[in-house]
Amino acid sequence: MNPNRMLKAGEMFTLLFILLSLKATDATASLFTQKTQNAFWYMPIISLLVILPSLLLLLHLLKKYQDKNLIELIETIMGSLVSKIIGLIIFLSSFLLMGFSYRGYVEQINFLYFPETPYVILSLIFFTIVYFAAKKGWEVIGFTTKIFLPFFVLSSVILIILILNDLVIERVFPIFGSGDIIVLREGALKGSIFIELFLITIAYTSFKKTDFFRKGFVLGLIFSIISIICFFFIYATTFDYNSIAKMSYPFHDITQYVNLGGYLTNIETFFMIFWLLGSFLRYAIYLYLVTWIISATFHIEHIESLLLPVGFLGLIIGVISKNLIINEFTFYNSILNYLTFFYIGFPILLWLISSLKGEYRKK
Amino acid sequence: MNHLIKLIMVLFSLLLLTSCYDKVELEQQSYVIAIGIDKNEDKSTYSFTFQIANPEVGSTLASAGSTEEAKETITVPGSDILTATSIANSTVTKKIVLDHTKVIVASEKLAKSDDFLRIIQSISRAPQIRGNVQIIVCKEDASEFLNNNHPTMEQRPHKYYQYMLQRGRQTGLIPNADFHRFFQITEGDADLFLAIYATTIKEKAKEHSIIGGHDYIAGQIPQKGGNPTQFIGSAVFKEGKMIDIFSGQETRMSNVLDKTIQMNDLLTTYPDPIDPNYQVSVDYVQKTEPNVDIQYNKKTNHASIYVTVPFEVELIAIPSMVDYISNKDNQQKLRATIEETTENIANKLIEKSQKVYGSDPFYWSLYIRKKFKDIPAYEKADWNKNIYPNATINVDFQLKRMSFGKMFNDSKINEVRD
Amino acid sequence: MSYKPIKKNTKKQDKKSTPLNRHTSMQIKQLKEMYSHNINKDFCSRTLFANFNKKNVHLFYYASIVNSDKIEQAIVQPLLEDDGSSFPNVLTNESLKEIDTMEKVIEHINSGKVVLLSEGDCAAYSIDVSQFQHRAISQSENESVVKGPQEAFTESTHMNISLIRKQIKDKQLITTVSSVGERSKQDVTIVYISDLVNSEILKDVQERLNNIDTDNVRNVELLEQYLEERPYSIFPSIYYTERPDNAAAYIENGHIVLLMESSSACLILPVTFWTFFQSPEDRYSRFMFGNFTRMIRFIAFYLTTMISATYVALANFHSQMIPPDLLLAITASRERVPFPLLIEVLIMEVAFELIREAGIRIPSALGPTIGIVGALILGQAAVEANIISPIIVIISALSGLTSFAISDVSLNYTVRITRFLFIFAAGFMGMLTLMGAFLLWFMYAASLKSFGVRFLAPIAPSFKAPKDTLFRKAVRAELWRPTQIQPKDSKKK
Repeated sequence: MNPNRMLKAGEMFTLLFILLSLKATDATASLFTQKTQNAFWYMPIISLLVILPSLLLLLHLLKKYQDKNLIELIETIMGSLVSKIIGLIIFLSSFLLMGFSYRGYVEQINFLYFPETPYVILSLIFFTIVYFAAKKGWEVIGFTTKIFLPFFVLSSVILIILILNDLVIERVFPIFGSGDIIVLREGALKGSIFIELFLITIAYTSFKKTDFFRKGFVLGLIFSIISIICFFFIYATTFDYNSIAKMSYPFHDITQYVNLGGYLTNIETFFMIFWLLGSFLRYAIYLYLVTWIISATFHIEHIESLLLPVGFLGLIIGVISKNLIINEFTFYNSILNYLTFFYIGFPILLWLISSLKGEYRKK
Repeated sequence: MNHLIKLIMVLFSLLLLTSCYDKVELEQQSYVIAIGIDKNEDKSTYSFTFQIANPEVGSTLASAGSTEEAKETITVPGSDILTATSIANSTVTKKIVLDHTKVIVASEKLAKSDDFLRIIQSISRAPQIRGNVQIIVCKEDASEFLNNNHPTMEQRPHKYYQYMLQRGRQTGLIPNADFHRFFQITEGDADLFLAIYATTIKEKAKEHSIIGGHDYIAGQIPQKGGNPTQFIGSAVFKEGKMIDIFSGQETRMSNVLDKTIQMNDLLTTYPDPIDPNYQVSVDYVQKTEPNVDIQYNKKTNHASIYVTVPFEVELIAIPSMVDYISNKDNQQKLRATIEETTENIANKLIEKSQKVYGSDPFYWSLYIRKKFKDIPAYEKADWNKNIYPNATINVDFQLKRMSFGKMFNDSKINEVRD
Repeated sequence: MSYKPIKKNTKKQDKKSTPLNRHTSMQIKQLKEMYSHNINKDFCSRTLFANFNKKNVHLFYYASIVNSDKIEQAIVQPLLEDDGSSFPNVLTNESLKEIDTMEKVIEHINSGKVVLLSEGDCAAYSIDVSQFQHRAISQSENESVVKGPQEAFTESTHMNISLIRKQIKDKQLITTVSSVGERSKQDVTIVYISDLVNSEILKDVQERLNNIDTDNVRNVELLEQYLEERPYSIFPSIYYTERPDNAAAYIENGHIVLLMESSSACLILPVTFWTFFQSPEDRYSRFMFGNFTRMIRFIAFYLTTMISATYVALANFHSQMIPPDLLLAITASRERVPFPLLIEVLIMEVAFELIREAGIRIPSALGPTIGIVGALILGQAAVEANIISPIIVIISALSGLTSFAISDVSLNYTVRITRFLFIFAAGFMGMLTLMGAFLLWFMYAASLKSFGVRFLAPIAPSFKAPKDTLFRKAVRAELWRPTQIQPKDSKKK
């Protein structure tokens, strides 16, 4: 227990919730539909199940080696050199994903709300806001997300109520989409969409009690999965399987479609406000976590001073990838697939080594 | 303090820089309410008609003494909608904004051609056109339709379309035909899509139909006075191409049988079973969705569809003065007639759809999906070509309740005339 | 915490002190010179022949700040008539003090005491006969309530403390005094309940008071600026109120109140955002009524900060959001306006601020003119002259009017400045930058601390507290003191 730390389970819950559940509003849904058609809505469960054992193992280790965050834990078990390599891989992978998804978010804003503004300007504005938000520090991000959470929930509930009339439940059938094997395989390969769950363990020691972390972690995971599934289900029942595969941002298609009576017909800007706030916060959290990992790996004291270079490089990745990679989707897709193996693997490796060491000690 | 001054300077410079990009003043935009699309003689271009609302008419402040029209309608050629807006700017002074578009009107000629799907798809790519824009098919050219449409009460076009379509859908005489539904059905490659049918051209009045009284399509209602524009019936689309027209009554029936369309109540007439010279007017109320039960045989790829439609009616007028209220036998007869008539209409429509169209306008393909494990199997079975045309369909309308409104009995006309 | 203790301590050691000696006449001469006796009209020096020791006694005081009757009764008469062995025997007044340095003599004269110098004595005596002039207690004008006590603080510490003691009859209610200022020493009275207050915060406050390095701090309004951590912050971090009942309520929860002689208000610390947001009447009204008011105030808070900015963002960047009827109406009215919408909004907002500022400064006899000028010329005539469109009048009137619902003086400024920040942000990139600005503004608030207490506590970070934040619980259901300030006793009984 650390009296100087103010963060509690509530903050942990909201941090994880924002980090994960916003995936429901970005291109993740359309990434899933590409190969599995209308079966995509329950795929996150499969992905979660695939990485769940590794995740629980990691949590177990964290609990065992009290008061150590992810990188410190790896360092204790694996030694300094290997920990640097693993830390670097975690950093690079999450950093790349941040860059790509960052690009996705800015493109949504660009395409839907500011079509005539250059992409670079928009991403600079977005970056500036995210950077200053992250610079306020981990605690303040936690407090802010906690206070904003009810508004996010409220806006989602309003959206759900408004779309409820247009849902056609039968559209989820045939239940296995493009085939049960394909669904299972694709779902399993996309385990890395939950990469944030591993990232956030870097903040293990930043809470008043580590119990708070675990409690918030479990609750946050459950609720984010529910909300992701809920939104994916809405997409799957609002759009037919052929249509959903064609749209990149089903969330915005839904906000454009709903209306509030005959008078307020175009209310997407209302939902965009909360979505924007959420994405700002999400990237502030993401940026902070990624920077935290690199600074923990190389024992750099001030996370805040690294935010700018890391964030800016992420921005550059977004801008460059826009010009270099023509089919971002396939690229992103294959990166996710490869990463899944790594994130399943390393906690198991950690656990094996740690238990071997334990055996030695006993002998 | 220096920092503060610098900050303010930066803010002001930002402010000056912002005149570019997406910032547009309201008065520098023209708001399109309706878009008309016509096919040109040559293949590659279309005529786009934009109906632009005039902000000065109808707003209390400036309207006093204004002699301007409530709307401006212009027609320009173009290969797609966004290029057409830039061509339109040769006559329209301001930036054309499509965000407030309520309807898209396509001429029947265009709707029946293969190009319709192409042009509609290119329109849907523009994020300005939303999923809730209604599709109207008109008999004449769309430009003619928009130019001839002169509502006298709701002069402001957005109000006209809002009220007209809202009321039309409430009475069930026109379908719900938004973009979203069009794409779900067309891309789903099963079922038929119904678009709103309208016209400003009056046809020779059709003989008054016996059953239902709504067996008209737009242009056939012998209306006198008012705006010549009529919205009734629907254009039937199969795979993105118009193939037929439904009358108001058929449209109603498809709405009734389709669970994805919200139905409240509609006024209709049934033949009086006792006195065939008269009709009984009733308020048809459907509180629950129709229950569609599909038995599917995988081997033979044959489906049997059982549809039960529970409904209620409220008697509004009994011009024949037959006593249906206290006389149980009469009541029974009336019940039977109502159920039978409705079933007849439904059966006729279903038969037509099976034999002529080879697909259904009721979105029934949804129910068969459960029978398949995955999409490849479902697509292979092919609802449009194989399942629906050969399916055995049984429709059962069940009159659950009959109520008699606020009057117990009509006054005896003979006694009154005594 | 960011005060600078080192500089100050060295200075205090440098301070010279000259002890009094037996050459009384020399010292008297010195004193008279120091006070420019011949030109300074209200400085009095009198010489009496004391009866008890048969020596000349010199009295020094400022005639304007002492009670002359009291001098006659408590000093002159006993000295002239009574017998006794020493000064304490003769002068039985309770405030008699012996002082031994020249600096003390000066300090005592300055603070309204009579200083006695007896010939050949190396000590002086002072008696408190001060009578500073002040207003009588009047109604609270800036924080008026319908339901609740009407008294306000006045410019006298004694009366102010009495107003507080009237409401808290607790033996643990302590009033200690610290002095601030170099040249003119002013007393700051610190009021708290000793078995509730967090001693760390109390120590912090006292240290900060000691470290104030300036000639003179005349009143609490200035003291606030010397005490606060972030002088450039947009948010206030010390609560300023003129209501004794408000002060008493906070003291009872373990907060600290600072009073000064020449201020008709007090400072309360540490505080959170909610303190500024609330009005004492919210608690005096019943649960439902109070929360209703809170809700109205919250709406007002939103409107006053956001409505102009939202309008700018929607009209300039997201016109699709505006319903067609309204859109066409605005467009029609804007067709003849020669300014961009942003400038239009700024014109009206600035005009409103002008009316407001002029309204405060204008002599009350001319008050009604401001209404006529404001309403007629700025509203109606400007619209008719096509300088602004009518909807702007509504928007700015709304945002101006709602700003008055934020009754706290400090937060009111915050809100008004924020409004302009948001308008600029909205004019830059619509909702994108508006929301960005809002988020950063909010996070800035969340990162602030007032004497170690987070500004948005007890919501985030969460604490056991009455949760009297946006809404409040029923008074009976409040079991805890606000634990974000860590009072010694956190349970209310």
